[in-house]
Amino acid sequence: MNKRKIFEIVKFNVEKNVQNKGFVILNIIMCLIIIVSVNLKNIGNILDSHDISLFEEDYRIEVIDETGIAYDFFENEFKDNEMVELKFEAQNNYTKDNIDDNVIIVEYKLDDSNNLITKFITKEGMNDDQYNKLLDITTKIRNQVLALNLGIEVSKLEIINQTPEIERVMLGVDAENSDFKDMIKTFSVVIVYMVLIFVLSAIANEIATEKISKSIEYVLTSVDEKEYLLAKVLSITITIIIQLVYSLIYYMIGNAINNLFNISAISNVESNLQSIDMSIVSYILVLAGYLIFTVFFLSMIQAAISSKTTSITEASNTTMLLLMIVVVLYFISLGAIGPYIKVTTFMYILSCIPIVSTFFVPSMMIIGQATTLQIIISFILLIICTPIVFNICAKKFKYGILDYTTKNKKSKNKKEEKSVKEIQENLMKKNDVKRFAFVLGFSLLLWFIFEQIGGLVIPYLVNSIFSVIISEKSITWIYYSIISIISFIIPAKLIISYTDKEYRLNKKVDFKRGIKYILVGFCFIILIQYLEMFIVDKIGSDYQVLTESMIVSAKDSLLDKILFFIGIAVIPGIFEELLLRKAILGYGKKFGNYFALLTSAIIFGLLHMNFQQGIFAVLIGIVFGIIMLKTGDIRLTISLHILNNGFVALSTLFSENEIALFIIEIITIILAVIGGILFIGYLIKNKGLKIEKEKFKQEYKMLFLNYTFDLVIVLFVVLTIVSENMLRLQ
Amino acid sequence: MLEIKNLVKSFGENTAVDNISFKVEKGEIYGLIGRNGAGKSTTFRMILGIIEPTSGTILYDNKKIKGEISDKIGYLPEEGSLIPSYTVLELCEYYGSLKLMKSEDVRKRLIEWLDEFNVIEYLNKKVKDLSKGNKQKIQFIVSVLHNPDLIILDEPFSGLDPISVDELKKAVLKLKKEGKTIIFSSHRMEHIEELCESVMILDKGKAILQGKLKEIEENYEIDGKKGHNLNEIFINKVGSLYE
Repeated sequence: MNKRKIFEIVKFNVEKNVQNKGFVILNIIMCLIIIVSVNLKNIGNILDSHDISLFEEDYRIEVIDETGIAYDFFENEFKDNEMVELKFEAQNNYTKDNIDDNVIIVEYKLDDSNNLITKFITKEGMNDDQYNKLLDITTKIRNQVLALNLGIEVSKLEIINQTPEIERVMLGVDAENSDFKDMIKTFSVVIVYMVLIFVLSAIANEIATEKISKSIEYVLTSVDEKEYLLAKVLSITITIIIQLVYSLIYYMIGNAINNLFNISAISNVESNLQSIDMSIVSYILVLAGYLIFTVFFLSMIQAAISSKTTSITEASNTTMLLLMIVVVLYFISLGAIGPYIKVTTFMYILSCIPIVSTFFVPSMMIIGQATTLQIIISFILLIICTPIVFNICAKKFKYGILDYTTKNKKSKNKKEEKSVKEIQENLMKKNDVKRFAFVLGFSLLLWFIFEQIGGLVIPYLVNSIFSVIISEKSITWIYYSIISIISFIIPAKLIISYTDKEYRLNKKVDFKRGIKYILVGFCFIILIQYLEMFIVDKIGSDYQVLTESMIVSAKDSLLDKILFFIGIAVIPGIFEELLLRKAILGYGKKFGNYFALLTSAIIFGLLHMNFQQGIFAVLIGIVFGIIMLKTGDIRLTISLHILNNGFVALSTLFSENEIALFIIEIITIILAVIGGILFIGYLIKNKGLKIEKEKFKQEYKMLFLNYTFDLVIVLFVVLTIVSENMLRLQ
Repeated sequence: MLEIKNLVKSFGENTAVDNISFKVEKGEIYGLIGRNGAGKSTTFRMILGIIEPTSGTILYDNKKIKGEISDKIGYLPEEGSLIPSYTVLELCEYYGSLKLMKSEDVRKRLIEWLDEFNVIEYLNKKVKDLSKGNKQKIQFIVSVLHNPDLIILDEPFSGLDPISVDELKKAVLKLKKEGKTIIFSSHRMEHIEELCESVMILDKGKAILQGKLKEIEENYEIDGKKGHNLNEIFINKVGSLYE
């Protein structure tokens, strides 16, 4: 390393920074601000304004007293105050038209059980001090009234009102001077943070400028990247130190001026100085040590990151990243370290890590929890890590700032392998999948909002006039059906409007083929139901999803039963299929059958927002999806869905009628067996299943690139976990 | 003075400079000709130590270019390297400090050179306010400010108006008279023909023709005839590679 060159660069940069117009203007402003803020009181005295006190203008307080004791309190309080005119009235004589600004009416009344009711009446607001004064008096009056009511002395009542006094003694922790230490701690963290903000943003800015102007090309002919980087960081750090020294001088000037006016301030400073003990001095020294390293570390990392940027905006964004890390570390240290928190071994180990140590060790030190060993180890680690970080960052910095990264070249080579057509297709696909993700996410969001708003309004409707004509259950089910229709049809329409015509699933199959598909599908559904029963048993999700007010049984009226069947079987059957199979599957088909199948099935599962139905829905969604992809006829899956839900609805309706249940079971099994036979027949005829292989990993990755989609998935996952928990608690 | 042997630089699988060797004598002007991307700038960057060569040696007076020796070289980068927010004086002081120059020397030489180009009024102007031609003049001044013995000029005339080109050419010749060694690259034959004694034609990282300009022009044969100018030779040579 050429020390002279580093020195020359540092010298030039520091001189330039300090002589910069911006720096001078900033400093003049800072100087004024500091001097003024130190001398606020003196300036007030010079301007001959007195302390802003209570009731500084002429005030009239009118007291309306029913208690008969308020008079004394007000007399006592205001007899020496010439500004306040006290008046006792029998009632309030004012309205908003004739009340003056400087009138306060205080009204005390007693209610039936002799408790005090108080009113403060003014034209507009009153200031806090006035309010608190009146509140004080009122508290005394209240106590007096209460004491009279209870028949005890007022002084005893005041004892009851007091919070207990506790003297806290901790033998193992140095909690002495804790207020002052807390102040020092906060203050020092603010300084650390300010320094980091200035240093990092300055580095990011300068490096981005030098990269954009390509001046680095010339600079690197004279010095190597390590010398340059070191010089850069040093010069900025020195500039900041100069700034800090200047600020200190401003403070001293301000203080000196303050002393001119105010001799008592000197003794104040002296007493403050006396109270600083050795622990605080060592704290400041250790903190300064950490600060130097942290500034160095973070500047290096900042330089490496900002060398990759291509504009100043980008460069300043990168500082946010590092600063956020610093803030997070600070808050962790706030939460994890305190005089009342025991320090674990893990904390000791954590606090030795470079950069983390800057925030942890000093805050542990100030409350006497840090050990010498810990401080030594953390410094040794810092010293060991410094050259490593420096070398890595210098290398990254050079690669970044000269743009000669091998990585770029590699991607160029890759591009050469791909044809233009491939690149084009890839790009188109990416855009398409992203749009798909957005449309899907947004539609699901719409679904969710309609469903939720609907759910909120249900109780009000149930209690409305309709309940006279038909039963509550019927209204619930009618309403539930309407909500379902709206919340499914709108997103479905939206998605279909985005689907290219060629991919829309609008075909119709003939009756015989349709029946075959339905029967085979039904067979699978029954198998899945058995499987689900097994799974639910294992994970313990065996609960009733419908609420009590919605379940219709044999006791209820025929209308209730019909509406229950429609609400459970028909409506979901039609509209869920429209959204999931026709819309989502149809749109997704563009990106491959497997992709569409899985997406629609998983979303079908997520929409149920609990594990019991969700798992079943995913499996069943795959069966429905396959049928839809094979036939393209939405009527088939609608019938299957109605059939499936219909059996559930029927078995709920006839839950007390064993013969009916038996018949339903028999019909189910017969249908399933016929379906199974048909499927086996199909397998024999076609010599097994033909499964096309497709790659779809890439599309899934792309899907998650859209924010709306991610948001919806997170929303549904969170809600699923929450509602699962609630259902289990029932 | 400068000797380059078997210089190779590759980025991944791409070879930017492919095994070139040449020698530059003291006091001569050496020209590098080639299309964009032929490897001229990469060669210069390696000479200046901005990037490391994959293999090969670069010797300046039989020594490796490092530390003090790199201060004896002046460099004018192709795309400009002036910091827009600096004034001309600040910039030269900064770049001077990189070469360990004293502030007084920087000022003295800067004023001399500004006078040479008749732009003394730009001393305290910010770089971003200058025109392209004037920027190039400042760039040139920066590269010769520290009185280097070897001056490398990467495309010094590109994008300039004829008058500025003329002024820069005069400055180059003046430096030659002072005994400086100059290497410069261009894709304009007339500049090379006018100034250079030796040339090298680069194409896709390979040196396809090199030597004394006069000898090349006299001896190069196209269809059995001799005595062509550099432009014809270049088209013939570089063009023939693509057949």
